[in-house]
Amino acid sequence: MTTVANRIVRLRFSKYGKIRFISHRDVARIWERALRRLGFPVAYSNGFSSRPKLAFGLALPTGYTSQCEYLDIQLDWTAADSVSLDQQLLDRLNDILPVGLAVQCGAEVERNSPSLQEAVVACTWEIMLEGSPHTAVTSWILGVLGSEEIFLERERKGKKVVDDIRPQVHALALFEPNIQEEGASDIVHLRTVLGTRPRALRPAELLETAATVLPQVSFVTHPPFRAVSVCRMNQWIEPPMEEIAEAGSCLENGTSQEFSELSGENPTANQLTMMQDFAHIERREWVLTEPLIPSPGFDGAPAASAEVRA
Amino acid sequence: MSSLWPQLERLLDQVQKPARYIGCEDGMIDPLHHPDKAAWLLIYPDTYEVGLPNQGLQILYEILNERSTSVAERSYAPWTDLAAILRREGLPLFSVDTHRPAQEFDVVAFNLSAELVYTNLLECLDLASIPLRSRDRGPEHPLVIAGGHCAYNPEPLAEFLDIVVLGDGEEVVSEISDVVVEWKALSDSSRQDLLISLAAIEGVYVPALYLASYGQNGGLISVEPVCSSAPVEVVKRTVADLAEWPYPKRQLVPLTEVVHDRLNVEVFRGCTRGCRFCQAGMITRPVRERPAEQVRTMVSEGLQRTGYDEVALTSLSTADFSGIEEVVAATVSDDACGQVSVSLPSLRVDAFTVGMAGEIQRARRTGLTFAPEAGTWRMRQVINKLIREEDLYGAVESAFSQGWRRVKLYFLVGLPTETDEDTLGIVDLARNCVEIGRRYQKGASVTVSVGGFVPKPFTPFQWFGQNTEKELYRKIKLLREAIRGINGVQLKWHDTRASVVEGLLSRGDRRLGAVIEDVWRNGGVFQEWSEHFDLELWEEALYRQGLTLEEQVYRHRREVEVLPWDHLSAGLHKDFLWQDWRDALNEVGLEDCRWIPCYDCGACTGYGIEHVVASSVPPAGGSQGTGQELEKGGEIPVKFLSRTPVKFAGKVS
Repeated sequence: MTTVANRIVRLRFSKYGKIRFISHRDVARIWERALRRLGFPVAYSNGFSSRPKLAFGLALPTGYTSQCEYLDIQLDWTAADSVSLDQQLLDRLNDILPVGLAVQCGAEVERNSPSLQEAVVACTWEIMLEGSPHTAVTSWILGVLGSEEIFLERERKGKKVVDDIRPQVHALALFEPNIQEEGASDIVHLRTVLGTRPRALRPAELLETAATVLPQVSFVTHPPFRAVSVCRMNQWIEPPMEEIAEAGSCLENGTSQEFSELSGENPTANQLTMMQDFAHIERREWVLTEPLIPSPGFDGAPAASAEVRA
Repeated sequence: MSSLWPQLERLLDQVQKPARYIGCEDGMIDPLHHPDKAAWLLIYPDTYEVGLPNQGLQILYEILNERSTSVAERSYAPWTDLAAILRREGLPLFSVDTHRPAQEFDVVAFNLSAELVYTNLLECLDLASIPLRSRDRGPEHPLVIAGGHCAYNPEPLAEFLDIVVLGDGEEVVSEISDVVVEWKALSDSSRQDLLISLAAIEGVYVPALYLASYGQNGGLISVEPVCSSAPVEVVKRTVADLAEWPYPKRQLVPLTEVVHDRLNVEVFRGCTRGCRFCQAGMITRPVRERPAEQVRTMVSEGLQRTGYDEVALTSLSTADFSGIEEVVAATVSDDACGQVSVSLPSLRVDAFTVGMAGEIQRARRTGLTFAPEAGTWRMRQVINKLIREEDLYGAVESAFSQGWRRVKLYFLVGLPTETDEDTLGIVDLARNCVEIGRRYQKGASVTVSVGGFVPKPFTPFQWFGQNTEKELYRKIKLLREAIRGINGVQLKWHDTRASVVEGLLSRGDRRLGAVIEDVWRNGGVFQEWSEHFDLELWEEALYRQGLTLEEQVYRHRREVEVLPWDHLSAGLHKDFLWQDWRDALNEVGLEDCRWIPCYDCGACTGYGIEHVVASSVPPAGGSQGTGQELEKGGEIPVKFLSRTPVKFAGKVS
């Protein structure tokens, strides 16, 4: 039996404010109700426990904010023709969604295109640390970037596993956003790109490496790094296969220095048609060797503070 | 008023389930606080997941916020991890709506749905920096109120509560609020003046205005008013017409998963089936149905507004609702709502048929629960739950024949006059049910779920001495041994030690206040959670107060004895209850009074109200008090005309 794949609409949304304390699973339930209220023609699974066919990307840890969450919605083929992904629809959706969840844009992607889970290879994060002096954070960054391998023990399906997480740290640097925290001298901003293969490295796990990377002495002097806010800024996908072939490289062997952003600028209604073919999405190439803005207080840092491990 | 959110936000990533504390639900009302308004904090003293769906709290939340002279916010008991952090950081209990400190409200009102939450009430007061005892509070402290089913015997909490509200809250909440607003406007009025004014409101009980006297043997002699404005007997409030109160109009939709996570529409209040163990059925009389048309509107609008795909039609026995057929049919065929599951909790076993099973099996196949309550016909006559074995087998056969593989049966043990033969009757029923199941399903199984019976105030069994913990456990063991080896039957039971504490608090007098405080001071919070429940804490506290479980829980009460709640009234005449207790011991059943002449239990007559029932004839299929011949107990009572799935998540009665 051949089944025709359903059409898929991909939405990008942000998560911020009080809602950041809602779990990934609960966010999925909020979306199910919101789409029902909107009357959006979502396809349902068969069987006794019929569920709407929604797919979310890599789970955002509870408590983190994000500017780039994604959701794939399979359309009910009987009603899919009536769907028009215009601004009006997105506005209605934003009226229904709770404050803190906001749709930025949407586009139809190719049927049978890889799922978000399969497609995303890395995420960019901004982390705000509190209570850790710049010097400690700086030496940690240099330590991480200078290490050949960093072993970290983490739990996986109830078992403790030790992984070398160094290959997943694609970039790590101090970062000063435009917002200056008033009188908060012990605030440090970081920007990092962390890989998701074979298993996503979480910002909290990266921060844990302070215990192994920093010299024991300085770790005793300074308490563990404590993130007061973490925001996912971008999710990255593999470049299309033909381009990989042209470049003669791919991410897996670690030579490619670029990712394509999952969906770049907020597309306008006009651009949506263009985005139907995923390969045609206008990609903003983000070269990781480009220096992230170093902090003024960041002494002794290499000019290119971010690097991709060769 | 100030929001604690900036401080809380930095702490919430240190706790389990921070979503419990953020509010932000769809339906949340942005309160417009003003010094002239009465600001209410409605607290459910259990976790957010358990408390949020509470309909009573949501109804009062809307009513108070609709009024121009009051605002209401909500709070729930913080889990132990957050409570410890709040104490460490010097932060108080807060509302989830705007995160205001609890002590900045004028009224702090608790919903008491279960006895085991009493220590959480003290925990909440303490976290709010409100003195535990009413007498220690000054004009700067909020008024502390409680309502809900457990409020019918508030004596164990008498010292801690400023006022207690009996019965339906829809009307009285506004009357209380008005008195608070007037009192706030007076600059020279004392807290005592406020309490005296409140005592004049019907349904309001001010424990401080009553004196409890005890005899030399320690028994209660009387609870009498010490102030002329306090009535000798406080009678409950009853809303005559549910149609006037279509609440909640905007049910809160939580962002995180909670119990009963669905749209809930109350189709009627009250029940006159007359099951003698059931406090809810006794204290909520008479039956007041919501018009079917209004139910349909509330269902349709509610589903569209919330995005839920499931609606529960709630009541104490939903199959008895006169409009059940049309409401269900209309709901499942309403295109505006999409695919919808209807769940009918509290559906009686004599009303579950092949026809119904055929419809609901299309929905999510969750478990089915029936509640025969007792194992033998004799026992069911004693408790007035006149379900025949044939009714049960018919229902179970319907379920298995339509594809269900697992059925749950709910029973009580420790009922009055119960013999081991009655207890073991449960095993026979279960064995027969699983045998019926095997005819249809190879892997048919029956789960027997057993709870220990706890006598409750304002029921015919209020005089009954609860079975000891040892005796309840012996019966459980008896069942365990008899069921072991029967293929396909599993036994589950409620912790018998928890039943002891429920019994202690449900019929206790004011002397238990010190026991509750003792347990709380020794860390006994969240006692309804098995990981926190500790019987030893209660036994030690009782010992320190010179009280015993034998006297407080296990002793039969005498006819002439003063019961701790005798100065309160649920409308029921005490002699009616006594007669029903005698009838129970004589194994005599009592019919449902909806369709027969009144036997004057007191619930209607004293109020000049009556049943509001749309149908002049009883629903078909019932074998109890419906005027039907018992032989017709298997007829289809409710026809489901649905083409879309109907979910049945029914616990019978």
